[in-house]
Amino acid sequence: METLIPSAPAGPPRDPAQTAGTPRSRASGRRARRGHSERAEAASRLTQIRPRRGWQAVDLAELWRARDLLWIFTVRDVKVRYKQTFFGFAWALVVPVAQVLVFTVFFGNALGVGDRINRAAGRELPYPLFALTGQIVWNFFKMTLDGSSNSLITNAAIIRKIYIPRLVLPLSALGKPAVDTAMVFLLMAGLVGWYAADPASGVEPSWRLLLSPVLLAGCAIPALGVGLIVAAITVNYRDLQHVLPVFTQLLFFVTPVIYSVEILPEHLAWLMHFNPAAGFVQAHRAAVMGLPFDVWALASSLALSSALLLFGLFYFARAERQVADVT
Amino acid sequence: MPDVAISVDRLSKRYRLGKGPQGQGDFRDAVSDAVHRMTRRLRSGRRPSSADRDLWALDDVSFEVKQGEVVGLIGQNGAGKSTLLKILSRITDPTSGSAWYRGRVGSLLEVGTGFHPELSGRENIFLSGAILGMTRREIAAKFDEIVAFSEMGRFLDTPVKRYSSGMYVRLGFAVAAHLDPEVLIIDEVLAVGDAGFQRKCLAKMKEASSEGRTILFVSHNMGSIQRMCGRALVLRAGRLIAEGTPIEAVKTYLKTVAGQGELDLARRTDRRGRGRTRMVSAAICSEGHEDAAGLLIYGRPARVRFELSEWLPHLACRFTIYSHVNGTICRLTSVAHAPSDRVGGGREFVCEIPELTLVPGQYRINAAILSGSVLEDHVDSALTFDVEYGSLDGRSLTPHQGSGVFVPRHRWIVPEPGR
Repeated sequence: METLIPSAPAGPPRDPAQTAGTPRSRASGRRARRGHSERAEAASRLTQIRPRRGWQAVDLAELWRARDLLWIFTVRDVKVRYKQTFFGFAWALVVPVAQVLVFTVFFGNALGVGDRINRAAGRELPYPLFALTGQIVWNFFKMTLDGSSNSLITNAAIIRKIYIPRLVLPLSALGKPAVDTAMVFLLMAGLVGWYAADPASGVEPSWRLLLSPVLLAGCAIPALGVGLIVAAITVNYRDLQHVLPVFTQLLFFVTPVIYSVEILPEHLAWLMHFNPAAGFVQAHRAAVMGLPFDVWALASSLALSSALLLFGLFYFARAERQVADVT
Repeated sequence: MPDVAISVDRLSKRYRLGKGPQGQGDFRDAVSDAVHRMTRRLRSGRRPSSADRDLWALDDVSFEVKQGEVVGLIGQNGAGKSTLLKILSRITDPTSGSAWYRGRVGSLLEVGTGFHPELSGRENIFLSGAILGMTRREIAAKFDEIVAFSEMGRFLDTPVKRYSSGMYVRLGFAVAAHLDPEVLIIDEVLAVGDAGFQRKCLAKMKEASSEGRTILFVSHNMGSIQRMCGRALVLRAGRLIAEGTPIEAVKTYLKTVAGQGELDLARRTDRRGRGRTRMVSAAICSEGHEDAAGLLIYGRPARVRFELSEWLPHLACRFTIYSHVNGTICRLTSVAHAPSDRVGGGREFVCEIPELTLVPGQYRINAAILSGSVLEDHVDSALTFDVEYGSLDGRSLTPHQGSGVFVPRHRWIVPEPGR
């Protein structure tokens, strides 16, 4: 005969993992023991499952334990991108080069944007380099935003079948843009060298070129911030998949990529302060081309994007809980 | 007394029908829902009940699993097995209740989760291992073992998209088998792969349990439940209805399944044929066990019955028995007559099998009615049944005989010495 279900089982033991007595702190200094002590800690770690409601803390300890997964996902996306292509990673250069050519022909020359920029700057700026120094930041921003905001949907098959710290997915979307951007950076450095040979261009290679990677990396903050928020909303409302391309298209025109802020009329320039990417684009171009540095523009973008990232992290953690049920 | 490894306390999970648990839908739905709720609340002064749209996939389920125990989870599709495993694997949150366990959990709801088709076998071992929760160091340490277990050494640098489905499963299980978690959660993954590989997987699971790992195991294969598990839980419509030894649990489960095919057959629309007559019910049982339809015993006479809506001249019945593990077993047809057949005209086909020699396991029957050479009706899986251990001629089946398809009536002779 069937056995009756026993009444409510005893509650969880009092000692959670923290007090489970693992030699973690002592062994942490010795790399050789690292794997072993983490394994021992994992074996006795207590996992509690219960409904979670409202805002929760972001579990950074769990994210840290999943660092290998983060790395492997990042590498996966980079490797997969150019598999079975003849030119491989060279494709990372094709798109920005084509974009800069088009910008130079249409905006730089035909529409006279180049002349107005030069007048505002008070010297002759080579428009191709001007466009590329903006475009490299913008492309990194856009690729990271696209990748992270779609990460839950593209990995839905995994999410439905196994638990992984979901924050890994949008974060791993950084890898692909980072590799592509590194290639474009080399191109840009080459272009700087080429223009520097001509003293009339006013371009000279300086230590400030080293600020470029720092500012590019900084641009991951607004990209991930917006990406996390969009990813979280997309869990329930796929509408955003349709909205996002339009949004980024509009944002592009409100970002000083093909023009400089100086040539904007007063009544439009204030828009820049509400664009988390604008300050990074401006600062990056200033660093590479030796233009005056607008500290406040960078500071306001940094503040705005840090706030976005912080909110994005919490909002993502909140939305991520339902993702397996609705994707 | 061994420690408790998994404890589940009054776990429930609600799904909103047509929507996700917290109201998935488009924006318009969300707005109209909010307006609806507000007006309802204003009118009645309390929150509206949405019981009519709720589905409790899991309803107040409590149990404990001791460390080192292998527990089977059985139930029909939609009984809540997968929901329970998903909650325990932390894929989704429960609506209420709680659970806890100690140590790492390896959850295998699918073989080869996260495999990327463009990447090579080698790259996918690392990818899949990391998704399952291993560190790169652990995967590297076990890499050779994983490759040896999968028997895929030659194809390590081939993209997985060129693998056959069998190769894919092999590699996927090989990674999972080397996870070494304290708690292993497995959903029906042994239903894939060939028989040899299945045996290997079962052996690996046995090994894991003998090392003191706790295993929670869902299967529709009652044979592997009985072979693998020390205890089994039966779920039905989200509730835990029984808990006990695998044999008892399987019996309880089969009783809940019994008779269902009969009820549903008339209403099934996924049928083929001209349709001048339709099968309205079908049943299969062992003689003397008419109450436990769908549960057959090895060695006993069996009876398959198909009731028709209409009797037409020159009708014939044909059905094919399939094993869930081994595929097609045999096809029986009334087209070929035998002197012992009896033909009346009573809107029924009854097929008597004097001794059922199929080995224990799960089977299904596709049935067809023909008039002459014209197909009148055909239903896939018109019947499902399980065969239990029994005896023939006083000779009992031994458990390891479950790996073939049938064990015929036979006798052994050891000749007298000197002849």
